[in-house]
Amino acid sequence: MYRRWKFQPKARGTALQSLYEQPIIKSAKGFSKTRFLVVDCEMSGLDSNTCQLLSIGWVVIEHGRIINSTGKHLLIHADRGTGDSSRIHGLLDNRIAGANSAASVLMLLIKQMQNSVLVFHHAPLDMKFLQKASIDNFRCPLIFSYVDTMEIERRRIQMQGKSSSLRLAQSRQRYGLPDGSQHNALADAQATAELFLAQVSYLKTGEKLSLSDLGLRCAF
Amino acid sequence: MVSEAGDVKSFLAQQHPFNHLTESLLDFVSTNIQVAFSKSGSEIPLSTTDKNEQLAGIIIVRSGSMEIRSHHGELIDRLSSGDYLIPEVLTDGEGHNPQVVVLEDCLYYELSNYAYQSLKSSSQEFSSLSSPEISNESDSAEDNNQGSGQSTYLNQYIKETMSSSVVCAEQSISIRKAAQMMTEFRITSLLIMDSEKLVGIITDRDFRTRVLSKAVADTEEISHVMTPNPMCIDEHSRLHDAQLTMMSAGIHHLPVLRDEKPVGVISLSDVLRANNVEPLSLAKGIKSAASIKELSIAAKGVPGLVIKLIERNDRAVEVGEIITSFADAITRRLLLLAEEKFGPRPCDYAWLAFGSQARQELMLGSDQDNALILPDGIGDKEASYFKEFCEFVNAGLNECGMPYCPGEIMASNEKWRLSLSGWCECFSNWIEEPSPKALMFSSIFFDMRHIAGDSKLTENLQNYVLSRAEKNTIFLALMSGNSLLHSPPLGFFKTFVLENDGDHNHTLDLKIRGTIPIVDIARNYALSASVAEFNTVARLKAIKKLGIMSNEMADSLVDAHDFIAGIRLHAQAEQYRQQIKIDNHLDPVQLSPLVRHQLKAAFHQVREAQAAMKVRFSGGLL
Repeated sequence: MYRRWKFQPKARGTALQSLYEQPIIKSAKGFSKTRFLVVDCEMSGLDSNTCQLLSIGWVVIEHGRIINSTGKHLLIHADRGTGDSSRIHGLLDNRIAGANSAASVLMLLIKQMQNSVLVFHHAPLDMKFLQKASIDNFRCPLIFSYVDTMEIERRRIQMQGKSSSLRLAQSRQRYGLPDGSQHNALADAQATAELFLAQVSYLKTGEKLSLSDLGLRCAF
Repeated sequence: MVSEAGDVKSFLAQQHPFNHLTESLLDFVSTNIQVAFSKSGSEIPLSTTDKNEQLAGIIIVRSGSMEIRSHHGELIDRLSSGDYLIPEVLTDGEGHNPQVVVLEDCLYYELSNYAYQSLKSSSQEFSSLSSPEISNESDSAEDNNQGSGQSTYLNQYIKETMSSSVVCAEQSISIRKAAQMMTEFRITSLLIMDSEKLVGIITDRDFRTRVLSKAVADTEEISHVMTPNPMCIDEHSRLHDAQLTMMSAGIHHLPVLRDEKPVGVISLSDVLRANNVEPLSLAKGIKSAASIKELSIAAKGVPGLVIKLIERNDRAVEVGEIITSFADAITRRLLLLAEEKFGPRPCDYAWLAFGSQARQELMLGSDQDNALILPDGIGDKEASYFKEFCEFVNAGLNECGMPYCPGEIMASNEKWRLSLSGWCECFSNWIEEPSPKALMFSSIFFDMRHIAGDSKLTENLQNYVLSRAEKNTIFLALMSGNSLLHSPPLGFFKTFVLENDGDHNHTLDLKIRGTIPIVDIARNYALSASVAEFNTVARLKAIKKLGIMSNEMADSLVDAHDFIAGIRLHAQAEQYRQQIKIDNHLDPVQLSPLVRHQLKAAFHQVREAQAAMKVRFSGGLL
């Protein structure tokens, strides 16, 4: 709350203003009444100081359904070489050349974030890069509520007294979800969304499942 | 911006019926998809009281499985990855919705009802789906087999092919007058009448063989030289039936009747015109072969012809009948050649075919199963004549593409060259003391068909066997139990159970797993009710008529049989083209999702019929 108050004047007049002004999402809100924005980022490496965002993919969940038409995959123009992970993501410098600026991609993302809870698989990494990009471009961090499917999975595994891999692919396998053929920010966002629905269906006791049951947090 | 198609579109693009959509329609569908997940045990609602909640137009399973039960709790279908259901189709006339329950954690796609409705109006594939897709699998299987509306020649009716005008003459006219009429009307056959009734037929060939060569005076009555009481065919029969009748009887003309009155004639050449593949010319080659060598050359044409029939999408049952008719013709020719070689038969005999040849369900590469019935009380001289005789015929069949039976079920084996009373004793032992081996023999020998020789011998044996088997409930129970050993290859409904022996890893044996269970069911019911039919489809129809099997089950078994046989044939055609050994193994991966889906449904029906059979016949053991 403190940071929200601190940055609000700064955010005024920027793309972030609407985010700062929207009411905070209550943790008692029901799952099926909430709009979720499932986000996945691809970066050129793990260190947000030396590496940068390459692409962002997202998809929306409403009424407990993934809305396929909301899927977006946006490439971000890179200043530096793409580094090692380009081999994994299949993104090459020359393909990224025609991509969007980080600022324009963030502005599209912010539009989608309105009145939504974000969903990540392993949120800290994606958030570190998103916040850095936001501060670089708008001098303010993003402000939002989110849940982390990796944390949901960690709790579930701990409850069962097991220790298993929490990676996206292995977590999906435990719910019988199909192996994805593609590997990019959108495909991973969709894969995370499917995992999220699967987790929710197992957490659901009765009809009422609130955001606090899902471990809702606030970005800062 | 890169492709946003994602997983949904690429998955749908591989699934029936979405794989038939144009790119733009596929885009339309995938943008209107919503993805949902339900854990096992939960129910997917097909109706709602909440007005805000939109119901899906189509539900497509992405992973996991679900089952649909009618509101009475009866299983309608089970769905796994790639299968779909349409709630609109499932709702019955009284507005009852079936129950859809998730069996294994299920990720599924919902297409909004709005999108489904507009898809229906813009895609033929989808408008045809609104007819029941689930409870009536057999219909779609049949449609598929018959191609897209193009009629194959075997499905044409005689009416369309026969000569439209019929020329008749009274039986009292002279031979000369008959010849003049035929010349005048430019016809090759003349129907001979006794006022309104057909009593005979005379053909061009008869003038040569019965008049000129015998120096009969042309003033005599035509009735003296005509073929009396000719074989006829009803005008509603199919061309295929006419062809089979002519091929098996060795005749070239068939009068066509409507209400017992002649309305036309169908000739060999009419059939040839309708059928550019000309199986008849092949049949002719077989009939005129003067040695095993010539016969084997003629027989080499059979697989090629069969492939053409398969490519033209002829129904599998009919292709089986045609292959069988060639096998019969080759056998008959060999029997004649044997008599030419070893001299005329010293006594009567009956040559029998067993197994698939008896059922008229031969496939390519089937081996021979045959035997001989001799009259009672023959001497050593006759016995040694028939030893050589049968060895010659079996060797000839082997040359002509019907390999020796690995189980030695052949007339050359003295165990299966018995007198009528010997055969009766044999069957009686099997029925009274059914050992595992006896049951195995029974399943082969109970399908018997007379091929050549004295048909009375065969009839006597068949009647004896039917009367003995019908009464013996223990035997029937054991037969039924024995046939349950061959189960349809469905694992817990989700996957095919694949063979795991050396050469055939990960394949389906369509014969043992698909055809034989149906054949066994039909045989067991037929035996229990003294049905004398030997063909599986004919048996099922007779059983249905007698009311000992429900109409639905009999119909669905007939369809499943035809469908599985069709897949077997297509797989064999592919093996023939690739010049690899023809067998009954199939890798399910080679099938399209639709065919896989239908095959599973067919196996499912077989399994249900097996369960019903078990209940019906296990009584004898309790």
